Amino acid sequence: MVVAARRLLGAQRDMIRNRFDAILLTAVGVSTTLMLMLILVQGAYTGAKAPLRALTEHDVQHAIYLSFITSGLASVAAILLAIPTGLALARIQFPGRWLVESLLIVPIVMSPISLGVALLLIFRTEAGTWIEDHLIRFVFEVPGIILAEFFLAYAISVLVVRSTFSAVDARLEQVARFLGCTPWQAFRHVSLPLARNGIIAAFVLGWVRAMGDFGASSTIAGAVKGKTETMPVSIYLNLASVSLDRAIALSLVLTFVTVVVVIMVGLLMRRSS
Amino acid sequence: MSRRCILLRRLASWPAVMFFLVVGCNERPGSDGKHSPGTSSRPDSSGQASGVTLELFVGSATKPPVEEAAQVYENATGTRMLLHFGGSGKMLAEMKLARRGDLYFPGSSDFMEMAKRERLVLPETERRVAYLIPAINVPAGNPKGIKGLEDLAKPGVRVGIARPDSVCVGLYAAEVLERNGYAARVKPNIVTHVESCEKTAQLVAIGSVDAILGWEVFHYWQPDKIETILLKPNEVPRIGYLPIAVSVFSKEKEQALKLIEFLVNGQGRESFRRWHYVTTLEEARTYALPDTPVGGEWRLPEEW
Amino acid sequence: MIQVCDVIARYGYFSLKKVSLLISAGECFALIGPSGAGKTLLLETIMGVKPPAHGRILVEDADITTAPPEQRRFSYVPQDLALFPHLSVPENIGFGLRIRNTPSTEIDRRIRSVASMLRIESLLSRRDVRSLSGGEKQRVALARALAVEPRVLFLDEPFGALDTSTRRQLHVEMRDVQRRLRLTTVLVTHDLDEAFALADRIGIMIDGGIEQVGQPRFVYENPANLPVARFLLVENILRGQCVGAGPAEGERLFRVGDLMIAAAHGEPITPDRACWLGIRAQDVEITPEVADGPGSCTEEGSPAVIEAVRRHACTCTVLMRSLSDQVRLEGQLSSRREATMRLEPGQRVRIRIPSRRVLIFPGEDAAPVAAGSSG
Repeated sequence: MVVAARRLLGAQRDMIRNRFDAILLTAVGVSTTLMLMLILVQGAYTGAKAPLRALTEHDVQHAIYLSFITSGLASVAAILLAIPTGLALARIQFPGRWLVESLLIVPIVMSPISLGVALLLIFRTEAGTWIEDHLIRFVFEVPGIILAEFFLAYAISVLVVRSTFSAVDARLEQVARFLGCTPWQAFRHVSLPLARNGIIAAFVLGWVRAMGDFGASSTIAGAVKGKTETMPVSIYLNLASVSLDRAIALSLVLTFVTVVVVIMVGLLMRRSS
Repeated sequence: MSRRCILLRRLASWPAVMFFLVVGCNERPGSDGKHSPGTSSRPDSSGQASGVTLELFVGSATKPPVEEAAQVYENATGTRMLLHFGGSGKMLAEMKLARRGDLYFPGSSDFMEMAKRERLVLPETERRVAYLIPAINVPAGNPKGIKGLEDLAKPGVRVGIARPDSVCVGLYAAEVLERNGYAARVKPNIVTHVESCEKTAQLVAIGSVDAILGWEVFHYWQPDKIETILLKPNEVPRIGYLPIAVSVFSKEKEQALKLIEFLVNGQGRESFRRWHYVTTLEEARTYALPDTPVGGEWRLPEEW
Repeated sequence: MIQVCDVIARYGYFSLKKVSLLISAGECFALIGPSGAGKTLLLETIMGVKPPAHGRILVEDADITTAPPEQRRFSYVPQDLALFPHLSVPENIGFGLRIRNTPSTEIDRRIRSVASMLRIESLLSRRDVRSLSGGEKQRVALARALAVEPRVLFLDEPFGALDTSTRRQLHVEMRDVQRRLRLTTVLVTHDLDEAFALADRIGIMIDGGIEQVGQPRFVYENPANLPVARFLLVENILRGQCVGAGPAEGERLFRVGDLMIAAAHGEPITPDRACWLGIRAQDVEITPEVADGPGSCTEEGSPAVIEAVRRHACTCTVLMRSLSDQVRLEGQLSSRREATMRLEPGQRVRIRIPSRRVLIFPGEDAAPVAAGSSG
């Protein structure tokens, strides 16, 4: 252990050029430690076998599958709405823009359960019941999960998209226009490629938030095993029946799966830039 | 190299040290129940018990009366009351993980049995505080005109229950349906399982479903939003009771016992009466048959 | 070719005065003026980046005031060049052609042609435009603008960020290309030398309005009013009173403090009328006073005392005052000449100003510019 630590110190000698760098790296060290601790205490509690065993169970597989599908669809829908909205907020000076910007973060400001309750109330209105009867059923159904997660993913994605497009120089679009681009072409050939990494980040952040949601989706869709039981719901239910080992094992599975996806996306971003 | 720089470099390397510390010095699970009940370290001066805090882990089935009773107790004795509310199972899990707490007060005997099995409470201190009667609850105004279990099977009626495998009121709901033979007919109408007692009540308070299988006392939680339709006495398979016991982690066992006495026999009982909880077995039996079992456990069938 | 009719451009609270301009086909027109005069705003309004608050813009007799940018067939090189960072050099240059669905063989041909015109063939293999030097970026931006064969080319401070020698070289090349292609060009600059090098006509813009339009040399020699004169670096602006006719034909004599200055330029002034006189520092002839010696009894010029001597790379600025300290004057010589004279503060000199080089501006209320403040 001493040798490992010394080697760590040795490596840092090259990275630290001055005191400021040392402070920055300390912050990195602290952050990493905090996050690792969260994972390691759980792993220490359950051991390595319990999470792996959980992965083989049908219920757990279904919960993972459901979590992926719902959060995937929700975050795709969210980014599709977030891109034009974020672009408009970044480029167009319409009246009341400041108000709109404040409104868009409402889904993540209200507690997730309040969001679920609000969605339930929507489907009690006339329009809501019409939609439920003639189009899609949301309440207590899987589409309800997707809807709740959409709101959460969108609120985060739109903020990131907006700041991404703000960082793309509007003058580039101007020049493109004069070179013959319609507004759409200027967006597609200039702004969008330059905003690519920011948009991917917006998508990933929205997706991660959707994956981890419990309050909103469980309120509107219930927690029916095999139907609307996502991973976070499953974790809660296990905790509620005092099956701590299983709850923590599932928590590790969820964490691991999410982190792997985020890493893969990060590599994808880095490879093509 | 300046001393400060060296110090900072060392600081930046302590994450590695922390890593090894955390992994190395971990306690294995299973050692929880082996903690011997320690003696109370604080001097017990009965009567003037100010400075003492009692921590309760309470299932939310009894939130309104417990809050009120706790306030009364605090005013009377000066004991500070720290209350945790939540699902009975979650409360037990928290008490177990945090290894603290003076009393455990779940919403059903099933969870108390679990607590006794896991040696998280002192079995000899268990007392019954009140009784819970399973019933049908509907939104105010009873829009679908539910009169009994039979109506729950009607087409177009939306029924909600709590998760039978993790919430006590859900388990009772399954038992009611199974034991009365309605399970097969009502199950298609069950549109959702929710994950907690409060969420179950909320289903009818908001009106998301036409009926739930909950507790008779739900009506008193929100009288203007929830109505109770009582089951026929022969339909009640079991009378639930609300048990309380002293936690093994308690450092104020004497004080905890005093509170239990207060709730069962003392003024605390008034709070439960005021909130329309059934506090005597005789009264509970008026909703059911003379030989209906009280408490105990019921195994949830696989298909649920 | 371009007709700007009564256009008022506005941006937030800043509004330009009404502008009307006529730019001929194949002409290079430079809008010059001090910073904040509104040149870029006017340029952007003519281009179509911002709609005018009032007025019309016609190009080849067609009203394009409301036409979207992509239909105007203009090219724009902004001050920061706005090269597309995610595209390579050839992709940047060919961008406009690709958008217009030009066949790829034609795109390649035009890229090569424009690259050879601007002598950047070696850059066509570069993938990252951010790694180019300032001058290289400029040429690529120009190439991109020229590749689409626009009707009009708009340039905003095109060579501002470059060092002097690169800038001068690009002036020559740009002028060459513009003449060869007979490309109508409108450019904005604050650099007089640049305007002179590139433009057929210049427009002086001060405080939101165009004060004077004309050929560079003419405008330089004949500023229309005081603000224009100040911008065109007339260093000495003095308040004087006409006291009558001067010694030679067509001259007027002015009293400026304790100096008498003859002027033969500008409008006729009635005696006793106050006005402003503009004298360029380079037109002030300075001769050191020789106390004694052969040929020293030339009484030509007025006496003055040197206050300060500022030596620059190629020129030398001499700050002088009249004997009674009422008038301050700035003069300018080449450094080499000054070196032979070896002027020092406190030295007495004689100054002579050719009357035809004195500019007369009838009495205006503009504040005087003290001699030496433009140094």
